[in-house]
Amino acid sequence: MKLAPGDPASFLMDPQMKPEAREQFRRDWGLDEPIPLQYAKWLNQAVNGNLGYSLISHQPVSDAIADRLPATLLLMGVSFALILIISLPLGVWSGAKKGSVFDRITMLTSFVGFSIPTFWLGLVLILIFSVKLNWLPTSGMQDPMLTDAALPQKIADIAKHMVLPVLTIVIGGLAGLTRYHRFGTIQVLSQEYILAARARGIPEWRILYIHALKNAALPLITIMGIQLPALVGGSFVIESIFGWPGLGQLGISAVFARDYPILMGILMMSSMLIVVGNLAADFCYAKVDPRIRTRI
Amino acid sequence: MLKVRDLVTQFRVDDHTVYAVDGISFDVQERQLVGLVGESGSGKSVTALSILNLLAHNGRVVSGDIEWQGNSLRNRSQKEWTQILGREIGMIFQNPQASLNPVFTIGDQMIETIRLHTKCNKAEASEKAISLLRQVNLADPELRMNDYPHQLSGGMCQRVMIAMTLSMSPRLLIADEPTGALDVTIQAQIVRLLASLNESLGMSVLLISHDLGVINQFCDYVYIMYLGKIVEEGPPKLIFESPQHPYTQALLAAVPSVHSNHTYSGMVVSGEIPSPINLPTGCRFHPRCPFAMDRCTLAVPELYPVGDGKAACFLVESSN
Amino acid sequence: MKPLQLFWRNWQNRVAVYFLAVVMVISAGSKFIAAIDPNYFDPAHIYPVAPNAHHWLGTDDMGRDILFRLIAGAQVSFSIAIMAVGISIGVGVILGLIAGYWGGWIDACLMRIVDFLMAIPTIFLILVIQSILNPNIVTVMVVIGLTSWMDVCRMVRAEVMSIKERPFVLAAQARGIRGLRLILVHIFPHTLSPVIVAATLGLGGAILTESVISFLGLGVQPPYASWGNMLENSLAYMNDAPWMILSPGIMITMTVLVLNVIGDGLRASLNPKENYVKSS
Ligand SMILES: Nc1ncnc2c1ncn2[C@@H]1O[C@H](COP(=O)(O)OP(=O)(O)O)[C@@H](O)[C@H]1O
Ligand SMILES: [Mg+2]
Repeated sequence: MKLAPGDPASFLMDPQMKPEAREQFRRDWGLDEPIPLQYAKWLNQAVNGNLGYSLISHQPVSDAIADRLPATLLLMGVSFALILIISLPLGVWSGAKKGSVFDRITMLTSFVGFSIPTFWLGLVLILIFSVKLNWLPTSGMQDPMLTDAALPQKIADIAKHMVLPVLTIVIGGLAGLTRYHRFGTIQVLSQEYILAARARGIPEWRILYIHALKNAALPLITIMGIQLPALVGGSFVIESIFGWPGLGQLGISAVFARDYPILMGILMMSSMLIVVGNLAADFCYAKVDPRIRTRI
Repeated sequence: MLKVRDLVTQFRVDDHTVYAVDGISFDVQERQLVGLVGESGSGKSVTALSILNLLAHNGRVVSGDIEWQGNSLRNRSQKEWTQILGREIGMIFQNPQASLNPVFTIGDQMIETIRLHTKCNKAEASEKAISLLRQVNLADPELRMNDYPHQLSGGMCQRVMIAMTLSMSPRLLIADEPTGALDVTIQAQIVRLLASLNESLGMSVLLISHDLGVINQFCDYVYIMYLGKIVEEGPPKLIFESPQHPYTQALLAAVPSVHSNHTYSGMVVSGEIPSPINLPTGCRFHPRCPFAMDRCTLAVPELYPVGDGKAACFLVESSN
Repeated sequence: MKPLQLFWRNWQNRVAVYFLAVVMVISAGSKFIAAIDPNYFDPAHIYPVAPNAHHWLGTDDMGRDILFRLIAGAQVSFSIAIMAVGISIGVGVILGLIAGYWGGWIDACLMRIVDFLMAIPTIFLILVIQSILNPNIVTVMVVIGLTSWMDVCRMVRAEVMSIKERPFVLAAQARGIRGLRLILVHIFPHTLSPVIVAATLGLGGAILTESVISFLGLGVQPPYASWGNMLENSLAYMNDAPWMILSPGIMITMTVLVLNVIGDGLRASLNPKENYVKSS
């Protein structure tokens, strides 16, 4: 598995290397430092490093990316957190009540959610909430009229702009995770240790939310890692539909402008985001699962 | 104390009905150690789970009575069951390693169980857990408390399971093949441990096994089960020295220690246990029985009394 | 019970198959009916017309009948999906068999390539490639196919690694059967059921991917209609012509939904054990 090699050094190193040399190598490359620090350094490198200049705006690519990154991280972070928070109890509950009306409705909805083209869902939401009802802004991140407003007002404004894109990403991402989670719960609940816990008179809510949940949540961490590319790719298109000033929008406009330095920068950046996400998932998994923890 | 009468348990799988337990009756008295023996698939586990209302969703107790301390256990509410499970009747399972939750430490799981049934704080519960682990002869109980199940051997896990069950001091312990997944030497230790707990605590034990060899000297009474029915019952002396039912004789022949100096050594049950979806007509054992007569294919033999026991075989009926 | 019987017993699966069959028959048959011309427009009405008795689903911004374009688009979208899945299954199965059977450094290399490709957001990669190429129906098929084989490859590899230790394969090896013959005759058939499921789900995925890239204008190009490129201008006409958005999206959703139902149904009926949870 991906867990086995553990860090990027093993891709680059000669396996025949002596342990001392290996250590030296890791130190030279800064790989002996904690992952968040490594990532920060990499970011620093990328920001200062020479990624070339945009063919259109002549801005350094690293600057263009750095400008856009916070918006993307904000949008994805909020959407991801919401997806997790919602899919977890939904999946556990429908797995526990397999075959019930609740389960059937959840599964049907998630099947539909799975099948809707996310960008189209975004269009429909704009159609309903912005164009027809006029409740929420169609696009952008901030109202240009409010650039000088007080901070709380600004935050409220950004939040308002975020509702539709977040809603779109969440609906699109929720279905898959809920299904995985339901399946995991069903599997865990059929294990012998659950039967044994029931035989000890442990109440049903503890069985579900303490004994089963921790087990069922474990594979979820890896699955989050696996789903990351799709979510990142999906949110690119969403950003450009909602005019969200993030990497995705920058990327899509660069596609049309054939702004290759920007494209390469973004490809690299988003792949890094995904690799780091996956590493973080593996790292968390190893932290949480005692069976793997003792093997490391 | 526990009285089971004509228990029938069935499962639905697609369009089929699985007749897993088909009208069995047995008793477990106060302080007794009772054996329930039969090949894999004869319905022993289903019997145990039916008693404790822990059947899988597709299974159902169709008819019969389960009486505990004089009251029926059928149609109890979920709340009543949390009082009965563990506190009155405890159960341990075949695969001890799988019976412990892999992501919690032994200590977590023991403390949870102890605190569920007695009011006490974490430290007291932990102390109690350690003393219970010592009682079941687990080495270094303090260290084991911080271990995860995968760090322990099967035998150690089974001791933990027993300790956990003891913490709730049940009146009856159902041990479903507690040694099935263990090495032979460990098997004997675990059975001896159960027997000594039965002796010292006065806790009744229903010991389930597919191996007559495991049951032998400790039991007060033995039931032999085949395809959802009791085919023979009696005190162990009778079962081991003069088994009446051909199935019991075959089970005995499979026990190595008894094998050498016994007349049943030639008897081996051939073939596989039939599926409980398509049950044989008449006596369920007739397709594999060396003494089968025409009559056996047509009618179901009842349990006929023989000495201190009973056997469900027409040979017994005619010899009486 | 045989897998197909099991599959057919479920009413949802039957409805899904019927739906798919109807869509396919209509879109294939429409070619032979001259009245159904997806590109015909009335020069007097080069603007969106709301649904009416004449144009059941209205017309698009060029005055073309949306229903006719949906029917023609079905053909394009399906052809792309089928070809793309063919390519991705072909590449995935072949590389998966190679990696799983030979193992060693071939496996290590292939898996690193797979890891690498999986770390790139597929949609973005496709868009970049399409922007370099001259996008048309063929490039859409090939690019979708070549960027979506990694999951199949991993799955087949895992299957092969477990199958090659099974007794019947060892027995075949003991009889002196080696290499290609062993792989094709003794191993490959056992990987088929997960591959069939993956292919069905992959069709839905390909339709979705096609719709995104065509929506962005880097997929199927006019005058051809696809369900994705029908949405291309819809954003601009959102206020005046919401019908331009609704019908293609609903068509995509229904079709993908139906394919997912079939894929899931196949999975359930090909491994019925997964649904049978034993108690002890
Ligand atoms: N959940 C279930 N669904 C269907 N059949 C079951 C289920 N649990 C047990 N059975 C069937 O009931 C029969 C008796 O099983 P069991 O009681 O586990 O036998 P054993 O005597 O080995 O403990 C077996 O044929 C088994 O397949
Ligand atoms: Mg059993």
